[in-house]
Amino acid sequence: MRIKRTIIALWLVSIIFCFSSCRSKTLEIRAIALDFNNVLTINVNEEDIINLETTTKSLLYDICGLSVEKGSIYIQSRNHLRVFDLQGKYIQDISSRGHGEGEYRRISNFFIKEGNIFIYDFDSQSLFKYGLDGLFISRTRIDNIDANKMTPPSALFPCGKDWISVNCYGGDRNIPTLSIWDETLHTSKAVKGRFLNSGTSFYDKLFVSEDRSVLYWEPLCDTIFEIKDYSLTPTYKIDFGEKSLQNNIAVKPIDERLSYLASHPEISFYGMARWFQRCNGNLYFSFVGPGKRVFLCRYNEATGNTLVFSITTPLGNYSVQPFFYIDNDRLLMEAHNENDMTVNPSLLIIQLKDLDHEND
Amino acid sequence: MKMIRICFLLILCSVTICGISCKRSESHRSGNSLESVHKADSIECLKHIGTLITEDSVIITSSDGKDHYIGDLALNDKIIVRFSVFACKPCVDFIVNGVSNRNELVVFIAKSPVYDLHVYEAEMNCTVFNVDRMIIDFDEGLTPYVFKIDDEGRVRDYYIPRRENPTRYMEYL
Repeated sequence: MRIKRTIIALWLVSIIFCFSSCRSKTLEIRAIALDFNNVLTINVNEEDIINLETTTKSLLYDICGLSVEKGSIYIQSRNHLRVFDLQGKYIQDISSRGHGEGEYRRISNFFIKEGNIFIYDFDSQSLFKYGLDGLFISRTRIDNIDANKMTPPSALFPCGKDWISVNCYGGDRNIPTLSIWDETLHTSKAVKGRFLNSGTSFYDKLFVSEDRSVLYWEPLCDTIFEIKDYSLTPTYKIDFGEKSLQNNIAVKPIDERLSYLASHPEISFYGMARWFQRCNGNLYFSFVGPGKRVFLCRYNEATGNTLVFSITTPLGNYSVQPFFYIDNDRLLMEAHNENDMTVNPSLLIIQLKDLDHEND
Repeated sequence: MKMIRICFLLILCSVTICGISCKRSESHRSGNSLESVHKADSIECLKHIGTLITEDSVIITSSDGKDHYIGDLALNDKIIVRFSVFACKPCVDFIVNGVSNRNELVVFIAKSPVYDLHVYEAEMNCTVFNVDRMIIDFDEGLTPYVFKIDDEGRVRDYYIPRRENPTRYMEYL
């Protein structure tokens, strides 16, 4: 009789423990409230603008990815990976589209790891490796995917020794949004918590910090997710107050969110753009408001201090774009020349310490 | 023993016949589906031919950021390829690459940033405009199509090229 009671008591305790741990998980979502009455201004001087050289060989669409390594700026613009020096002079391309050795069909994403450039090509399900000089080194094909359970990655990123993939929609199969792959890219483990339930191809974004923490974002829900215990968990909710996209729309599936906005172009709201980065205890992200006006936000993850910045350029000649990249102690932000639409984008250099000064 | 052999042979024959008939009906069905797509396309094309588009308030933007009315541009006898930035890329490549004389080709893209137009021009080697919405669009412009404009500013030679049938597109061109 006593044993029975003990078992029942243990069972009850374990259930209560389970519930409490679940509740603590949901409570971890932190709101980042933006104060539009206190927007700080960052003035970028002419000498802090890198104009990326425009030649017939160096033309760029919008910037999709950027990395700085050994005095060169590597820029992905759709299916081109172009190299410029720190003054913006065009140097060369890294490979090109094609079917020859070392040529890719399409750039899904690129990154630099241990002094080598990697291009992931979704079309050929291959990871191409090049030297910093652009010389082709090797190609790893991801061809061991169980088609009944998984789809090929739509993007692939390094995560310490392992890899992390953003997956693509796979019909009725319950495909996880993210998976973690072993070093050899032979086996993968699903990241639970979020699945691809709609057929829409959308522009989601992943950021892996040096400490291997992973942040994930998808459009129109103003939420940043984090991987905790192999589960994708909402961590930060950006609160634009009255200027937010209505909550009943933001909670809809992604394809419904996109089609709703496509059919209601008159809706005016503020929303988080695709670009965010974690650096030295701060979370940086850009967001866009009516009139495509771009702002930068810095959120201190320890103190919760949130600063919103508006960026201005000399004579207002540049329109600031949401793309940015933090390179050590400076932030490079994409901008377009308003006076000449046929030149390549420019990069505005913002020193991170200047963001502190603005706060003083 | 004989009976078993006969039964076995009969089963073999029936399985073979079934296999052949299934294959035939499959190929017949796929042929039919392509044909039905062509039929639907033909109806769609007929709907738009003759539509006056120069009188419409459609504004098109050139790569230098300037806005124009269609009627102000010399587009007669040009082959105009229309697609959205969200359209299927291989389909667009197939249609654009089909036009060998690039002087004849003009591209109308929907939903493209103006800053991208000069890059498209360099890559496609032709004139490119951004046109977000046109009265002759169907499927919200996601399905690429081609057309010409006659002297009166009306749509002619409206056609929906399909990658699955390059011969027809060549005939159209």
